[in-house]
Amino acid sequence: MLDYLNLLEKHSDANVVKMLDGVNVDSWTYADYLRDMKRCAYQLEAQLGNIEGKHICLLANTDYQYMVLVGAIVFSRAVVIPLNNYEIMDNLQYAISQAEADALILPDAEEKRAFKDLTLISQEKLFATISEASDEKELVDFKDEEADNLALILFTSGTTSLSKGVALSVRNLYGNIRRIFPGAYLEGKEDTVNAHAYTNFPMYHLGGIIAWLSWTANGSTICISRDAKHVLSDLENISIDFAAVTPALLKMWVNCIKRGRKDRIGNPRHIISGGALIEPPLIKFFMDNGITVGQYYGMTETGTAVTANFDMDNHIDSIGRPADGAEVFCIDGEICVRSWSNMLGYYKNPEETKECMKDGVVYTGDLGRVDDDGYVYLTGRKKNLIILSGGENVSPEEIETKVYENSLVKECKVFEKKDRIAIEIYAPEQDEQSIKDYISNLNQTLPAYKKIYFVEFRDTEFDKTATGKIKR
Amino acid sequence: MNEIFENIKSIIIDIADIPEDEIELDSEMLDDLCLSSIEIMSIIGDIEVKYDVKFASDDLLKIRSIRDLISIIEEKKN
Repeated sequence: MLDYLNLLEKHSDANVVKMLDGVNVDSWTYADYLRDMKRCAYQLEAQLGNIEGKHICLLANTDYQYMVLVGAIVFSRAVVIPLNNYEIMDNLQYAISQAEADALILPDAEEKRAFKDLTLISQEKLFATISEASDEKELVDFKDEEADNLALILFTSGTTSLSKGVALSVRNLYGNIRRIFPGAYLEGKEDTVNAHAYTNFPMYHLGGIIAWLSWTANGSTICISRDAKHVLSDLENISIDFAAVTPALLKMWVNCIKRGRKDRIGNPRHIISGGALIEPPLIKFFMDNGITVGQYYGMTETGTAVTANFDMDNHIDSIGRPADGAEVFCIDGEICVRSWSNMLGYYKNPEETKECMKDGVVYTGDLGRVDDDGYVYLTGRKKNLIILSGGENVSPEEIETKVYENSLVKECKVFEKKDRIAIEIYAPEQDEQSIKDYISNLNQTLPAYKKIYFVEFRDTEFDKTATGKIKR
Repeated sequence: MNEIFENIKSIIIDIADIPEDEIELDSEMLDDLCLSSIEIMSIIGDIEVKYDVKFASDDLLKIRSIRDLISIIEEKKN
């Protein structure tokens, strides 16, 4: 088991986090982080009693305080459940009840009435107390016998209309050290300590969690924008060594570079990306402009990025070779993974778990092949899931179910078009406008990435499979 | 109104690769200009810095076209 707290202590004077807010940069050291984690753990116990084994949800923006909370909760031997603060209330309520939550920590600005049956803790009050009171709870690193204990539940949009809670254990978090860095660091050419790493992955996404685990274990400085609207103006004020961002953000950065404004992206020397596929032309563009690119692949169910590709000169189409001790192979053309980081299963959902995991092997639902050098290539997707360039997973079924609530819709099929959600509908022509209005209203209730942008109509039924389901 | 429109156009061109003549007062950010969510957020971010205003999430829901954007900026400056 990784002696994570010990590593944090070792890095004491290095900067752990820099929160960017235009010209303002707030920074904390590893010593601050360890101290605040212990104080936070003390205050949580003061408010909730012994929290060992308790399920605590977080509904807040990703920032330094969030990392303090995750560390404090996990090392207090409780279970942390990061929630998407942009998700609609129905889905949040569902996740909270699925995860059997005992308490919820949220900022004062959030709507509390919806959570009346839960113990609520104000994030602001908690941290005000932490800054005033120096009481600390003693926190110790995990022992091998704790390996299978539940530590974190991350919700993922699966192929069904309801999201699933991926249960990650102590072993999945700390069974090995993660080294999610550009190639130069893995080759020892550059030092990870105090390396400034910018990310826009939120902590309710696997990307945010593994960035946190990997970079803090290696003494790097995590740089995050306070306000996602100010990514470009924030990075004008700081030089970063590398960025780990979504392909969606990379696409926007292309224009900055084209206009000679590398300063707007913090002048990084390297970029690593994941969450969705980075297309070769995008990779080439950055390389042509003197920035190295690394592609990572994984899914919430595998607990970490399981392949990494730094060899763009020879394998630009590949998602890489197995990383950090994972085994990646194909069964019937489907990419499968065996790894210390593979989830325990879907929380309280044995049927779905059986569909996804057999004998500890995760069946990714992605089709692929492995070449003679061990490089993995994606060739298609078996599972019915849309993955957008921002790393967001959208279940077509979830959207279709909502659209079917309008009885005028006879049949419908959701698909991806131009990095957005599209739908094709079979309905009588006279109902088309009414349906369009219905979808307009539905969109008001959905987070940006789930909104239906293209609505197309057809005048014949969809082709069906042998069992009568619409062919995808 | 015209000055704000010109400034918004510059910001949009700075952030997204769109020809100036395609940006009109009634152009819809998503449907006509095909801007991604991240691009729209950054455009609004640059507007916040330039005009020293703050957009709340409720404001963002009301913005479909450039004209809408200009109205909200004028509202906030007054």
